[in-house]
Amino acid sequence: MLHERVDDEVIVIHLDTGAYASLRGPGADAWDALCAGLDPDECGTLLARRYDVTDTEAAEAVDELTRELVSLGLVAERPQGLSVEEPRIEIPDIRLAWTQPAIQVYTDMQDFLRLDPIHDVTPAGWPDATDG
Amino acid sequence: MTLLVSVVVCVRDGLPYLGSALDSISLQEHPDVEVVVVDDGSRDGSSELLQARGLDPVVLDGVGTAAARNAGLARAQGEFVCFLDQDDELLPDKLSRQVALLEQAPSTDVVAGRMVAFLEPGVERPPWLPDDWFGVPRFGPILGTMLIRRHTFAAAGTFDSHAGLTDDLDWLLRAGEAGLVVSRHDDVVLRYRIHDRNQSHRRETLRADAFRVLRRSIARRRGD
Repeated sequence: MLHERVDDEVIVIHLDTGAYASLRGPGADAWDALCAGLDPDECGTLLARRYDVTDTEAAEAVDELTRELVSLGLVAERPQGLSVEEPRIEIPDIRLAWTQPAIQVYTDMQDFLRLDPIHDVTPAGWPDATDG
Repeated sequence: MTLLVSVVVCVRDGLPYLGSALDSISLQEHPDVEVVVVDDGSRDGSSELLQARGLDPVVLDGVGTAAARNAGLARAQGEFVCFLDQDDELLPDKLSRQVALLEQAPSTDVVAGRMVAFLEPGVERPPWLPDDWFGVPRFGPILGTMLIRRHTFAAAGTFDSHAGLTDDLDWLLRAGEAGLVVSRHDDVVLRYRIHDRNQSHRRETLRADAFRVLRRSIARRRGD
């Protein structure tokens, strides 16, 4: 999986499926926090410092986003014992307006972005002629 | 009556593989093929090879792949267009197979087949490519695997120089945004050569360009 942040947006490319996705604003910050190793509660606390939202509401939103990211195969449970990094999230003097973190997934380029070879091949590596 | 296919080959210092690429076009089973060559400032003898083969290239001077492809497209006369990189090879039935598919499906604008990567003998496998990547048919955002109805460029636009190394991916994205129908088929149509001078070795540039074109595509779809 590849991901990159520019300004307020994170783009993620899932190389196994060829899907790509966008997260903006609180979603991008939640992504950065999760990638740094914070759990959803910790993410929520951090987001509540940046956005005009309560810790609880932010944690619930991150929890929901995390479930969606897990279902998409973009995040997985972090192994125990790994160190947690400090996420690079700026805390403003005046908190920013809150919007529900969301991910927009695109699948139009799946076959062209996917890195894995096709699975419906013969052991010799050629398309299986018996397939439809 | 067979339909003319234009194969556009953009060349810049294409030796030593350019001859093989051109040979693969000569071996096409499809009977009606025109070769459109764009020489974008070669200094390695490619120009002489083209001349020896009786080809009359569009001559440019280092304008880059996207602009070179557009120049080739402007000269192309075929109903269908294929873009072949100077270091790759078409399989002999590539054009005949894809013309047949497009004729069977009038609403399809682009057909894309599979490619097989092969390592040029004597070249060390790049560390970022696993052994099992070679010899296995796969799809990719590689124009050489595709055959495109020439009129679709009016809707999708031509190639964008600002897309860097990913002008092919950028065009595919815009084709999708324009509502063009891209159909895949499982036939292997292209041999994709891995050697020591592939642009794909420029991993960081390739990655940055890919993210940029995806970001721009997403922004367009959002109406940003």
